Amino acid sequence: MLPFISTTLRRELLLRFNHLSSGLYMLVFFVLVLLLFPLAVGANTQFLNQIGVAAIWIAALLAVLLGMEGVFRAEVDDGTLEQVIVARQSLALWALIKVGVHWLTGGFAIVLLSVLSMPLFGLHVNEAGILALSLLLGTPILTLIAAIAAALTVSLKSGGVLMSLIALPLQLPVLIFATGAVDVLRAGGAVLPILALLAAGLILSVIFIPFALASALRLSVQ
Amino acid sequence: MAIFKRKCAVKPAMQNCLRLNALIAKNVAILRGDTLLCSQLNFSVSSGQILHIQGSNGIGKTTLMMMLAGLIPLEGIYKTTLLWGDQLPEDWSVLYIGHATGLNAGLTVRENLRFIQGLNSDSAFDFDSNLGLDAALDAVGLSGYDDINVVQLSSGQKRRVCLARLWLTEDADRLWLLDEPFTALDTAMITRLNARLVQHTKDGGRVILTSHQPLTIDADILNLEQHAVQHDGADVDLDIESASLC
Repeated sequence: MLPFISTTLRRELLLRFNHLSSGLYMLVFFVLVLLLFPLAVGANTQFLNQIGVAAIWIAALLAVLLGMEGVFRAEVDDGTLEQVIVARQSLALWALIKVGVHWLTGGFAIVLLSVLSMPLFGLHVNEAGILALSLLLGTPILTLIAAIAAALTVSLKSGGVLMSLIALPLQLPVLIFATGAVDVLRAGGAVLPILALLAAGLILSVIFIPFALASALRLSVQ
Repeated sequence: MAIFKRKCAVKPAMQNCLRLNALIAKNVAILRGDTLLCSQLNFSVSSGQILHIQGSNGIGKTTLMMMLAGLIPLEGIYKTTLLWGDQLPEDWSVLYIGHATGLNAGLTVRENLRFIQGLNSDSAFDFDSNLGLDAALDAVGLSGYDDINVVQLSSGQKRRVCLARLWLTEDADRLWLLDEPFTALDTAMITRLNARLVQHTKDGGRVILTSHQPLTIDADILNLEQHAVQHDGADVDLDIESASLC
C-alpha cells in the first residue's frame, strides 16, 4: 500500500509541476471573472461590497469546475487506469490522491488569491479571513464533486457541458452555506457553526466520494 | 472442440489443475454489451505453457483478455468457471499489456516505468534507484532513452517501452496477458520478444497472448472462430453442456 501511495503521489506531483500552465489557466480564469464585477458594476462601492463574497464563490466554483474537466481523461485513454485496476490497487485511493494534488495547485491557490477581495470588493481583513477559511473548507468539496462529474463523463467526447449539469446542482449546498458565513459575521453572529458544518461536509466528502469516483472510473474501462 | 492435448474427466482434471496451480477456464462466454460473441470456451494454461488466442477482428479476443485481467467482471456470465488455484480473476497477479500502452505522454520513460513498478510492488522501493531499468531498456533496444519524454517516441518505441516491463519482472507466478504484443514491432524486436517469452516459460511462467501472425515459438492454439456464435445471440442458452477441460 505504501509504495503505491508514494509512487502515485510522486507521479501526480511530477505531472502537475511539469505542466503548470494547465493549472494556471484556471487561476487566470478565476482572477478575470473577479475583475469583471468591479468593471461591470462601476463605482458603486457599497453594492460591490455586498456582492463581493458571492462573486468570489461563484468565480471559485466555475474555476474549479473548469479545472477538473478531463482530469481523468489522459489516464483512461492511455491505459494507466487499466494498469491500476490490474495491479489490484485501490482505485478510490488513487483517485483521491489525484484529486488532492489537483486541489493543491487549483483550489488551494484560489484560497490564497481570495485576498484580492480586499482591493476589488472592499472587504475588511476579518471578513476576508473568514472568506478564505470558508474557501479552504469548501473548495475541496467542490473539487471532489466536480471530480465525480468528470469521472462520469470521461468517456464522452465533449463532456464539458454535461459535466457542469451534473456537478452544479450538487455543489449548490456548499455555495449556500459558505456564502452565508461572512453575512453572519457582519450581522454579529457566530461563524463557527457554519465553518463546522463545512468541515463536516469536507470530512464526509473525503471519506465517501473516492468510492463513487472508483465506481465511475471502473465503468469507463469496461 | 479438440483444442487440448490431454483430455480427461472433469473432476479429476479439476483436482489436477488445482495442484498444478493452472489457470482453468470452463464454459466461458464472451459478451460485448448484450451481444454474445463466443460461447463454451474451455481452456487451461499451466506452468510453462503459452496459449495463443486466434480469431478474426471483433470476435472477442480483447474482451476475453480483459476478462482474464479482471477488468471486466464475470458477473452476469452464466455458468462460467474461471479459476486459478481457487482464486477468481480479480485476485490473480497479472502482467497485462493491452492496446493502450499505459504510458503518460507528459512523463519520461523512466518515470512511467517506475510508476508501473510501484503499482505492482508490495514492498517499499526507492523511486530513484535503478532496479534493472537500464538492463530492461537495453533488452528492448532503447538504452539511453530513460530521460526522454514519451511524447517524443514513435509508436513502435512506445510499444517497446511498454514491453520493457517483461524484462523488469522476475516473478514466474504472474500470469502474462499480452494483447497483440507484436503490433508495431520491427523484426529484431519480435525476435527479442520471442526469446523473452521462451525464457519465461522455461522459468515456469504462463503466457496468454493474442496475435494475428503465426507464432514462431511453441504455443497451444485456441481459435475463437470455432466457438463464435453465428446468430445475434438474443435467445442463447449458455447452459448447454459442461464440456471437459484440461
